Amino acid sequence: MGGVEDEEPATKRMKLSSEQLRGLSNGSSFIEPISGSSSDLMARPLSSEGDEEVVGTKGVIKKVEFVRIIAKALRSLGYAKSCAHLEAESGISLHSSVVGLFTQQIHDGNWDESVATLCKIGLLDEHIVKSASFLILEQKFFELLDAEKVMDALKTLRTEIAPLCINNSRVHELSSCMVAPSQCNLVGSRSQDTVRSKSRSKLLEELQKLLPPTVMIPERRLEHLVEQALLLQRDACIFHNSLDKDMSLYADHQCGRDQIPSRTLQILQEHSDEVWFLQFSHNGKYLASSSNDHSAIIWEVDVNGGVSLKHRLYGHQKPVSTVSWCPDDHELLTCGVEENVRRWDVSSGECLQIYEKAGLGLVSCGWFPDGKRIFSGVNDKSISMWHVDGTELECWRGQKTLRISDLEITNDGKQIISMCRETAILLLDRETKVERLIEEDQTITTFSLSRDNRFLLVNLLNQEIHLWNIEGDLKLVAKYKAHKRTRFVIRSCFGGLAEAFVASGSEDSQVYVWHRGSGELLEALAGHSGAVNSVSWNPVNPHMLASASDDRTIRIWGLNELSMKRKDPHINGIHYCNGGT
Amino acid sequence: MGRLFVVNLEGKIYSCKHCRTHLALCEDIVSKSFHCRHGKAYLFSKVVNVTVGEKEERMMMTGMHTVADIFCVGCGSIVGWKYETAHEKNQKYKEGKSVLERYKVSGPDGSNYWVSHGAHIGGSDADDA
Repeated sequence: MGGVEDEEPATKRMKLSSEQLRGLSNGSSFIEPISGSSSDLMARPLSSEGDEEVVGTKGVIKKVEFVRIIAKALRSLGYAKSCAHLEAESGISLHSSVVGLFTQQIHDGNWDESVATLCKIGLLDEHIVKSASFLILEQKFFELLDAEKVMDALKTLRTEIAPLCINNSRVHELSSCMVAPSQCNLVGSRSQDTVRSKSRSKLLEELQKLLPPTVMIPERRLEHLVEQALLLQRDACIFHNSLDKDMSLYADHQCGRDQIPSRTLQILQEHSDEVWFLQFSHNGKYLASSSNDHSAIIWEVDVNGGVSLKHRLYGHQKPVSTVSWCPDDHELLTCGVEENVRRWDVSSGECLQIYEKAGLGLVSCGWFPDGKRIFSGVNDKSISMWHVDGTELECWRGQKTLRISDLEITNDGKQIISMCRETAILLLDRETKVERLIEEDQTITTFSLSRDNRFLLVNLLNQEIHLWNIEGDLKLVAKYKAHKRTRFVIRSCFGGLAEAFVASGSEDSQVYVWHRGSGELLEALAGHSGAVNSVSWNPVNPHMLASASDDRTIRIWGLNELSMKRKDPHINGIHYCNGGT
Repeated sequence: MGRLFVVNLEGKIYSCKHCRTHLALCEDIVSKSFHCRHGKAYLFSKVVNVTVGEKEERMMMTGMHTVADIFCVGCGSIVGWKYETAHEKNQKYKEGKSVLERYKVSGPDGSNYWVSHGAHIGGSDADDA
């Protein structure tokens, strides 16, 4: 599962240092010296049709090409002697001597000679020769200008560049350069670099792109191939939840299950009744939970990933159904079921404000991205907006907000997402008033928005979780099944590195984790002794997951230490261990 | 128990006798002439806030059917059954629909129904085309 299918030992492909060069000949077809001297004046394609030698078990790598890109890589790394040694030992030259001469001439700035040599390189069609000559002469032109040899530059432009009859608009730009030297900045003279040789290298790079790769191998070709392979491995890795720099060349990258939190690290037992909802703050430093015991709790996450109680928030006379962190995490909203919404200060635990509507009950709450306004669903099917100080600002009627009604607002403050009918979610653009509808066949229970606001995770009555792409046209992109839901509000969330996973609670007391892209179920974590109502993945620590349950506890899940390799100290969350249960 | 998810209906509502959870609308009644052990029962095209039990084959008055008992999500009491498959062609119209026992629900006007003396006693739940 995962990884690039490849039986060839990894060492075969990843040779970058000279000592391992000798290993090249191990196991593969016997190397025969290539007949014919490669130091002809006429360059010929060194990977000629007659040369059928391949390396590797799949027979797709031509040996000559392989050796040449290795030689090129050696040279880029600064090991010119090793490169020469490789060329001598293998009898395969990095490039023909003509090209070598050409390259040297460019470096030395022998422009006219280099143009002449260019013509001696075979396999080039006329257009390429002209384009390359243009580039070279352009460089000559600029260098002459820099040296203030204006007349020589003009001569070059008139007698050498213009007659090529290509890229006439560029010719005009160059002539304007002469008239107004300040124009040179806009025209993009390569000579702007203070060190002359650097700009010649750039010229060489551009020439390399122009010439066919068989003549001049592109820079960093081997590095590019290796990176491509690594990225493919990473993309194929469904457990991927670790930093890219953990990828190694020695073995195909494949995160084990051990990258997904799967072990209970802590059990928090401070609520006296069912815990219905929990959520980490945006900065991952706090966790807020709400319970049937009419209270909410703010927890603090320390640098080692340990979670401890910070404040108990008392005041609600009803069970607290949901909490919402303000964008800068300094304040928290809590919502009592069909009661009111309270705003709390996170550092002091003090209740700063109560929002309510006479005779009505509030059912959900959230912050506007500016942190100055809050909104709330009301049980008369409307949505109300208040300024943080308590002044009621707006009220939208006509939304069918159910008694358990989720409400989300996008990070740019433009779109409000709310329940519209039992089976539909309304996405309303506040400015353009454009309405979009997500329609399902089944009753929708809850939904949650991804951090990048591009996706919506919708929980359905029939135990399925649907992933919708809400950018542009609304599209259903994935379904997740396996968890159990028959009676309660069970929530799901995104999580992990780049939100590559979906986690959900379940009535069978387990926490379920799926790979978001493939929909494959990765884990069903047992531990709780009651329905798991809500889960939250720490946005800053991809290895920390929290779950809230009817068994009155919150569990903090982390990596299974036993099968883990050395961790990057910046990723916290695994050290705290109180024996597991 | 966790936070119950209930759908709220509008109109003339039949609700669970014990916990008042909404179950069905008057307008979704397909037939009022069904019977069960406790007397009358109504066939509804749509029922909400119920959990469905295990499927089983049952011989009803009108033939063999695959049914599942349905329970109120609020209090868990059994409120009727759902037709999954009907084996006889002329019974197919029942598939996907649910029966609520009149004894188990409160009517739209809040009225309840009491078991009459003439109801069938014993034997499996019957039904009536």
